[in-house]
Amino acid sequence: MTPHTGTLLVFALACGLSSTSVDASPPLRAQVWRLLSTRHAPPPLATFEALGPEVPALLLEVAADRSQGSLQRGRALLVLSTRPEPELGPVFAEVLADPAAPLVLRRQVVLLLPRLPPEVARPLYAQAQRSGVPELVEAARLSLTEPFAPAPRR
Amino acid sequence: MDPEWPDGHCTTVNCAGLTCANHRGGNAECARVDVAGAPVEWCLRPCERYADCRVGYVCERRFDDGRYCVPDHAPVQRAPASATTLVCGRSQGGTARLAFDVPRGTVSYLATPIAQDGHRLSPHHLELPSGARLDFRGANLFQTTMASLHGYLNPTVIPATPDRAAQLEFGRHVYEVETWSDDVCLWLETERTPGSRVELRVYLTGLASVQARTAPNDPDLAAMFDELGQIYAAAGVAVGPIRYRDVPQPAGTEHRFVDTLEEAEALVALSEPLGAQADPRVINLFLVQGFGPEFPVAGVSLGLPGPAGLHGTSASGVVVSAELLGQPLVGPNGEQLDGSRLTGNVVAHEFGHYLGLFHTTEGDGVTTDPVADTPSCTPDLFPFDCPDLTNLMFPFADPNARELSPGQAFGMMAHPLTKD
Repeated sequence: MTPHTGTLLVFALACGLSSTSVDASPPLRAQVWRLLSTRHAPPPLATFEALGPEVPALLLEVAADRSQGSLQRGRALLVLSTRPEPELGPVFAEVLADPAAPLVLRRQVVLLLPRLPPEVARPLYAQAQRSGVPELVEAARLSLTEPFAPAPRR
Repeated sequence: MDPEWPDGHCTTVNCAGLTCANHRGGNAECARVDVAGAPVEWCLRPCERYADCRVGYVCERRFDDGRYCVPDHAPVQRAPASATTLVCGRSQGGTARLAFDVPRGTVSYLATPIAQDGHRLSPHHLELPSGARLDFRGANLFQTTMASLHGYLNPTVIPATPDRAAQLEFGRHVYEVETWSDDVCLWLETERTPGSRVELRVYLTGLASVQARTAPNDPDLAAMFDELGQIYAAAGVAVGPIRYRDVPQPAGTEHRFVDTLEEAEALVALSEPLGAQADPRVINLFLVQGFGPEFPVAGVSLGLPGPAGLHGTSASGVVVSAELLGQPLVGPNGEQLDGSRLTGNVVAHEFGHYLGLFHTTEGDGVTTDPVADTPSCTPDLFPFDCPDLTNLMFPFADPNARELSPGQAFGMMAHPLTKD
């Protein structure tokens, strides 16, 4: 991800996660949506990047956008976490802190924490553990004792 | 050494690019296999038949289509108690032959061999009354998918596609499987008319917002099943009746998030037999809160095709995420979508698998289904310009992917889980 992408993300967050902040054409958005909506495991980040240089920023935008489906948001986070950039941490934190976000999405964030740098993941673990939400507390325990390792696609 | 490999298995791990040692004339090759649920590359002995492998091992096809000696173990499962046409036998030298009769007037049937004592089986061929042989290593290889996935059974629809209609014959058949099982059976379900209805049993697995008691009046489930019903009606298949069950505790809470394929198998194994008077031919649908990042699917069918009337096994149903139920969301073109209806599309797709349909084009952009009238994609067009992008069995959960070809409808109706 380029520094420019990070700037775009900050802009997106500042604009209330507007769905039009990244300058991507409608056909490109549709392609990204479809790749995120595969019925089975989503393709690797490289497949998304091959669509265009703005796609990582678009994925970040999808991950943070409350109007997107939790399936699509979760997959955007999953794909981006295979090569986590500093911009990903704030999105993880925001999803985890959002009580309106679907539980499956918040749980996924916790299970993906081992992929983030320890200094970013540590406060998020603490946040999950004191959330009072049993599913998040359990996910934090699982994530710390049996760290998620990406399984090769079946 | 992995304890699942009987008497130990000397090998070279991570063998890609290395030369495998030849031991006792074995000419080992580097192959991809599953070990403890994850694919690895090990040197393995290639083989043609079960008898080529030492005791405790069987000869099976693996990821790269080669056949190798792998451990012979599978879950202990039994044919349905309700099966009326059941024939059993035992292995003789690594092979079992199971004879059955197809009555005149049958329009399709499902023959399911099952090893009931923890051994594996692999379909070899089906001998037809005319003397013709249906070879499961050739053009009918797609009909061995279930044995590859589960090891112990192989539901086989005849005829599976319209252009295979000539495979339907009446009279004495022999289904030959390779196995070391001393308790291998075959049960037969026949249809006298193409099926026109699927009956469902829906297991609610720790969902926060709906229980079996409230499910019949739940608007999100109604929208989901309306979408399923519309897609299937276009293919001539009705949906219903639909009955609801709660997965009992603590399993309901334990499995509300499904993190692995093995957990999905364990969940559908919780499906219960139907009462003695009830028709057991129903599809079990397990709705869960979602899947975890290690198994990031929208839904999974444990049958391809599923066995008819068999409940309580690792192959006894379909699992779908309910996470989008009731969610408004943005679609591929920026339009508003109803998450409940998109979930209905996923259910329709997974049921398609359970009734025997493959992806029109697989994720590799190369492998296509065995149905002649579905459009096929090519790698240069995959995925966005594929002509099958709007087919229900395309790998994307697109709201516009709703079409089923006449050939696909034929296959669904040939499966005894579609009934009158």
